[in-house]
Amino acid sequence: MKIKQKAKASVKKPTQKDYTIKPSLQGKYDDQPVFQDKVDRANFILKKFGIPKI
Amino acid sequence: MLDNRYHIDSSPDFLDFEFVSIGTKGAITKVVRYREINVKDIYNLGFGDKETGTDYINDLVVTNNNDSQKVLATVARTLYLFTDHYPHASIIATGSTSARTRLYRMGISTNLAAIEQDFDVLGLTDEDWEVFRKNMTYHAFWVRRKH
Repeated sequence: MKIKQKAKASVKKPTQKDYTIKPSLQGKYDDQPVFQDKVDRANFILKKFGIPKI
Repeated sequence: MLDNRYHIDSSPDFLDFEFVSIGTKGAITKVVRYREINVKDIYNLGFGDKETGTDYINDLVVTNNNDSQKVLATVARTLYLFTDHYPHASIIATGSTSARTRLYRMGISTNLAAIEQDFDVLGLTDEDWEVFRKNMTYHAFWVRRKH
């Protein structure tokens, strides 16, 4: 008896079906303060703890 | 878990992403943004909800749309798209609140085996960075694509 094996689908990597390029998104959120706050926080963390050496 | 995700819209430079969470509270647009910090090739991952009718991003709101795993899996997808185009980038992610940081930790823990196939994941303790371990408390996460 033939047993059909299911092709093992990638569970992680995006395919072109997963996303659409939207030019209108480019720079759309440049002025959002929340993202600048996060960048500031990341800079602070790196200044205090450094880049991981692992 | 990671294969259950939303469709993503990406900017042409693969730094800005949007997707729509569909759940019990309706449709909510989520925004993921990667921004290079003061150190070359190190990017911050920013994430929040777009407020209806505006482009204002709120990263403090608790949506409770009952799809947090699907949302985290979609954010993980943006990591692939981003690092496909910025392969030497390292990414820092912090939650806007300790509860959200804990949610990120739980999402990473749940999917750790899958994530570790392609990424190195570190966590920031009170003292230093360490290789991510389940059931630890971290203040931030460091992710980089394996080569």
